[in-house]
Order: sequence, then C-alpha cells, then structure tokens
Amino acid sequence: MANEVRIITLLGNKGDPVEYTIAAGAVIPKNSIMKISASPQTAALATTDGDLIAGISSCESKATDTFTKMALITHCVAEVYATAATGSMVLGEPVKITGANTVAPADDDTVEKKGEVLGRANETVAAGASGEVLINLGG
Amino acid sequence: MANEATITTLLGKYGNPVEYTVADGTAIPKGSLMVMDSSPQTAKISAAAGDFFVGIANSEKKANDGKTKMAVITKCIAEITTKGGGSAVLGAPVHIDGVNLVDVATDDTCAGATLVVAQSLETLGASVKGAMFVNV
Repeated sequence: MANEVRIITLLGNKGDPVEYTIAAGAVIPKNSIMKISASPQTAALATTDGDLIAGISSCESKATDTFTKMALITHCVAEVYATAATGSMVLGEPVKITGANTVAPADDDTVEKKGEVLGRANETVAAGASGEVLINLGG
Repeated sequence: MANEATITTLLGKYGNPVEYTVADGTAIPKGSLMVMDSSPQTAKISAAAGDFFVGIANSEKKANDGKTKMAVITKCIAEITTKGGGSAVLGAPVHIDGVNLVDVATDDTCAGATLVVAQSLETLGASVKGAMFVNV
C-alpha cells in the first residue's frame, strides 16, 4: 500500500479509538484509511468512492497475523493525500475517499451519505499533494 | 420506560457529558435517548420522529426528586433499539422515531443532520438492539 495518512494530533481521548473486527491475515499497514465493510462492526481497507469511513488503523496487520480485532482512530488531525490527477482539497470543505488512502471533495449532499466523509480539509491542496484534514467520525 | 440504550464504550473525555436542564416532575431512566425540549438547553426523553437528539441520560432521575440538571453523554458506542417496523443500515445514520427508538435517517438537509442520533455499526431489522456510534 502507499499514501498512508500521517496523524499529526490525536484529539478526544487519545484519538477516540474504536475497536472493529478485521479478517485474520488481512494486510493492513498502520495509518491506513479503513471502511465499514460488514455487519456487525467490521472494517477493511477503504479503496473506492462510496466507502463508509470507519477510522485510521492504529497498528499494522500482516498476512501471517491471526488477530481479528483492531482499534481505529476516529478523532484526530491527519495529513492526507488528495487523489492524483482527479483529487484535491478545498479549505473548510469535507473530503471523501476516491482511492486507497486518497481523497477528493465530498459531493454527496445528503445526510445518508455523511458516513462517506473522512473529515474537513484544513487547507487547500492540488491533486496528488497532501494536506491536513480534521477527522471526527461517528454520529 | 423501556428500550433504554446501553453504553458499551465511552469516547472523548468520559463520553463528553453535557449538562442540560430537565423537569423535576419527570422520571428519566438511565440510558434514555434525550432530545431538545425547550430553550435554553432543556432536555426531555425522546418521543417521536423530528426530535433533536442531544445525548444519552447518564444517570437515573426519579420524579420529583428535586433534581433539575442532568449530564447527557454525547460521544460513545451504545446499543440502541430500532423501532417496530424500523431498521438500521450498516454505516448509515439513524434518527429518533419513538421513545428510545431509532430508524434509518432520511433527512437530506443540513438542518436534518441535527436529527441524527448515531451511525449504525450493524445492519438491523425491526425492534432489535445493535451497536451505534454516537457523536453529537
């Protein structure tokens, strides 16, 4: 994987980690953007537009690992990459996943789609560049 | 009362409690889903669709016990019950639709966002309890 986020500031109580189930042996680099993948409370790597964000992986999972629980950071400021060529970030506006660990402006103007929003951009950046995003998931 | 929420994980600082005024004459079981009642900053137990959710009652209040303030938990994972005929969809928001009950939120406006109780962490049918991520 590439373009993992870099957490700059943990907010809330140490980033308000929430425990999710993951597949045993799933390859998940630390600081990957994770999606809600199955019921109940199961997460996997976020990869495409429309994924519902669960949080940022707080540790690494290797193919040979057998653990099936992982804490995901849900409240922090992080450096996140805008999708190459097609992505960007606009100061103050929400961003969503459009590729693995990369984001673009969120364009889904409904309450139902708010789960796709990773966070609010704290700076304006061009495609392929990284910028700060305020992440505060849930609710 | 029935169907009170069960908090399983406090997030933020002890669940980020916020103090609201409540009516002395009203009994409020711990775990009740609380909504805006009146101005300023007064809360009551949820009742129907359209209620503005404020948090989960952090303690029990008996009727006429003299208390007029209550802390409500605003950030946590909680087990919350769907209404009869209602449901919850994995990752989608839910809103109040009955006393301590929720259903899929369908309010496509910025104002409608304040009706949201939580993001469901499970897909649920009618009248069952499931994990939900509350962040008011």
